[in-house]
Amino acid sequence: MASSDRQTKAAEKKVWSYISIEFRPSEPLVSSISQLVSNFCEVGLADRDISYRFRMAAHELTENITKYSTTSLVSLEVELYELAGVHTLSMKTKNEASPARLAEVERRLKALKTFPDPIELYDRLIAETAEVEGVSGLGLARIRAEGGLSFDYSIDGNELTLVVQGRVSEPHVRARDPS
Amino acid sequence: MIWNFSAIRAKTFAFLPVLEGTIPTIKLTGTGDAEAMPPLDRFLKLVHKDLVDDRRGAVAVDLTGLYFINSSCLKAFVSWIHKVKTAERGYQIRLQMNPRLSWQRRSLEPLKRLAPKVVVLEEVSTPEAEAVRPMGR
Repeated sequence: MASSDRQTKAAEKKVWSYISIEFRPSEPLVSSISQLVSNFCEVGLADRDISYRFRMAAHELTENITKYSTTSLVSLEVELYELAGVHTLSMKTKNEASPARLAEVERRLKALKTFPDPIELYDRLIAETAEVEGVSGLGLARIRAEGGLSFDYSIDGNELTLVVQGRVSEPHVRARDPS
Repeated sequence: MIWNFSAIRAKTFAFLPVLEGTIPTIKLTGTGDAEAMPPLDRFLKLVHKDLVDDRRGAVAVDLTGLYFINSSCLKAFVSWIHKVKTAERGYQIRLQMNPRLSWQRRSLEPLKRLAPKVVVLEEVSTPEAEAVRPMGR
């Protein structure tokens, strides 16, 4: 594709609203951050259900980051955008983790991405962990099964990037039309 | 009186034994996050002990004032339900949901699928439940 064509394609993406925060991982912050994501969704969308799904996803991701990040600074971005007439809400987290943790999370993420039925996988994980005391290990599977959200990930060195996305209805008037 | 334990209250959540009603009832309110998980786990173990000791056939869990639950708190329910499912003498767990909080059904249905003979999901409409803000904290 020619460079000018790529620029035209890129220009088609309209960002309706966007937030980006960097924070020091901290358990007491988790609920506040997920509430912020929920409020962000409510400003742009007249859809409480999608706000809840993203609040849940933000909570689970931020809690994971807080447990497993090896650095003092992590980031979260939320974007409401339109591409070719389709509106999407996207949330991205970045954090660094130990090689052992990255290997474990990659194993889980691969399974989540490739398993055809997210609800069946979630039910299976629930049944498998029912007798195990302590850590749930259900958060990422929950995002896909209960939240109905898609996700992708990449690992670059020690840095894990997770992207959670969901198709949404057209933003309502409280979000400024980017055009 | 069936309950031999006290309520657990914190700034963002409360777990309460309810002393009236036709079946033993507990009530969970607020936000079920990482801070709430260890006390919730302890609370549910006490609930189980009293129900088994008193040979009760059912318990109602009023969740109409519960605004959010994370996967760790859901896991506490999973462990409890599994314990009841595999017990020699089990009982029914009636999870009472708020119809204004549509997420509750989605979050709790996996628990029903885990143990269909143990878990009952029921929507309860009370003036208190009606007053709940759908996205409130």
